[in-house]
Amino acid sequence: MFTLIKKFITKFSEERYFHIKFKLILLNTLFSAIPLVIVITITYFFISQIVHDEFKNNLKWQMEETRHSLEFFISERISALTFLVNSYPDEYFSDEKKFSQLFFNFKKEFEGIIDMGIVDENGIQILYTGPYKLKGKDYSQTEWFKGMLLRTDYVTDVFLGYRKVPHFSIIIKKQSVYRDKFWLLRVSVNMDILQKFVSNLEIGTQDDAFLINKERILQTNSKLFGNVLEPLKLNNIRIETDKRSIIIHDIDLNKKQAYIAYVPIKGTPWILVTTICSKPYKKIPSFFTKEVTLISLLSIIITFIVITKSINTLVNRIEKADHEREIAIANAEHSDKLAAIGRLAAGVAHEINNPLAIINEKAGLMKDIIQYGDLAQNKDRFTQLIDSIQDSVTRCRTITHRLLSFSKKIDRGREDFDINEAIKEVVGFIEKEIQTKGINMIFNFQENLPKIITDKGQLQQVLLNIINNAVDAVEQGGTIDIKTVLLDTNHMEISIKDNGPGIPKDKLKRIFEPFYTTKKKGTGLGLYISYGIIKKLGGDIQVESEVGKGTIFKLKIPVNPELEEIK
Amino acid sequence: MKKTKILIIDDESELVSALTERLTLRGYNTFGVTNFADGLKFLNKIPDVVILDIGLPDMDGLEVLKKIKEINSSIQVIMLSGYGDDEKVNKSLNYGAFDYLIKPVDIEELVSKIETAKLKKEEAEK
Repeated sequence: MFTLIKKFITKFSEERYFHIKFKLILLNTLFSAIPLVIVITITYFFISQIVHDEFKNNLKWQMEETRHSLEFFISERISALTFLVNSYPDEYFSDEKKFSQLFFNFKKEFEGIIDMGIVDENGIQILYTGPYKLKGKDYSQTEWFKGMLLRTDYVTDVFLGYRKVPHFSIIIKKQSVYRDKFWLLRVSVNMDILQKFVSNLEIGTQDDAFLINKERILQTNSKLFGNVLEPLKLNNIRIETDKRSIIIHDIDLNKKQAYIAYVPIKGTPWILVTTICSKPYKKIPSFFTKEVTLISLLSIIITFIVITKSINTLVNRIEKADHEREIAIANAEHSDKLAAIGRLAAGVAHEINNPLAIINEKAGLMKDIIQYGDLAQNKDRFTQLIDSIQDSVTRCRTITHRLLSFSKKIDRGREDFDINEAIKEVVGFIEKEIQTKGINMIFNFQENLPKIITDKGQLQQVLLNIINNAVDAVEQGGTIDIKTVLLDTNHMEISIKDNGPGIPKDKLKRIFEPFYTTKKKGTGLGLYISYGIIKKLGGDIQVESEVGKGTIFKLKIPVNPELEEIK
Repeated sequence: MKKTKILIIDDESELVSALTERLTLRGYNTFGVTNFADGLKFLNKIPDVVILDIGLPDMDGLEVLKKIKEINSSIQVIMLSGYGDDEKVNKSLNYGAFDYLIKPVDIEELVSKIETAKLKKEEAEK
């Protein structure tokens, strides 16, 4: 993968440009992705909150619906029974046949009714119609009977009773015209009807809905917390029975986050309870996450491609410009070398032409003597002239040897030598020019300097360049002061000071830049190359100048560069 | 016939002595000096032609040329130098030098230049 990316990024690039590209692409892609990640994160939490709220609202709405249905179911039956009690003549509640007829009609209209009975003021069921034999049963000790002394209607908890089947009763009181006389109409309803109501809640398979009474006894079967009439197995959860509105709060159910919602059913002893463990609110965010992850990934890939393409183009242009610059510098360096060679050649030509002229004239004179005079008389003269010619040949040989030794030194690498001698050799090359200009050369050389170990040819190239500049800078009869001094055990300083016009500050800071020159015919590379050489030799080059007073170049050179390298 | 007076100014004494002798052998009244200060003494005698080296120890050759022309503009000066710097050649010709020769010089060529220079001086004096 990395190789593929590298291939895609590099495309003809050198290693150093690949690193620039890689860093730029990585940084740009990262910075581009950050806002995207922030927006996605915020949106995710925002949507999660909305979905969560939506889930709670939906649960509330379903609970409300079920509560209303249950309340309606109960109130409808209470109203119907109250209507029966108050509208039908008393014989319907004393005559067994008519009572049975009434029950039959009522059961036909109202679902879930099991049986019907009349209980007198003593708690004895005096009339009964239904599948069980419950006539004559005493209910005087039951909760509901006691409760009916003060109330006109009553809905009981789910209980087993005499029949031993879970059911609940709705009881309506008929007050007699005589004081303290009453009878009760009791209708039993199958518990299954309640189960049906709670089953209508649209909940998940891991979720549960059931009814409990205020004593936390299950009034319907529960999937998770026990069967009907068993105590609710959810002891650590507090359920507030006095609240009228729907309460939702999160609970820890078997170490899992869950929600519990509950609401009391008005006019009954029941509380509708729902527990949600399935986390339906998590489904939409995960869907959102998938979609958004895909889109984000796609965006990042597109961003990466665009950034890579643009950075590729940009860096390729820089690379091309760098190459062009390198070629230009190489060409200019070549031109500078040619110019230096030209200058050197001019100096050498002058140096050699003088002795050549002497040879020419002496030889010519010898020829003249032969032609115009007596050869025998001029024997001594001839010897003198031949000596003079030989002297001039020696002079030429010295010059050519010096030149050859200089050219050989350029590629010789490190060697140990006397720095003062090396400086004098350099000055020797331009001696004639110095002489012509009447320049006063002052040598302040520290004596007994240690031998320096460095590339002599390259150092002399730098010295030649700087001394040449000084010669160019000074006026006729100017002064150049060359000083050597040992700074510490491993460093010496060569300073070349001239009393030329000096360099203004704005120009001074640019003199080591390539192609910057203050001379009419300069290439602007002499000091640039010199700076590079000195740095390569492990030294440093500094320049100070004052307009009207002159310029001083200070070269700090390590005596033994190997000691520096060890450091 | 009056001999042509030639003054040679060059810092190379060996060259000056040989050239002086050779030109003398060719019938010229030749004087040789190695610096401008000595040359001044002979300039008062108004030489016909001066053979002048461009690089002197005490004064730049171009400056010497100007001085000679100040003394007597009819004196013809043949410049002599070790290298053919175009800028110096042009400058010296502008300052009134008769010609410019690069060392080493062929004696016959020099004699020919001297003769032409002498004619020019004579014309200038008329």
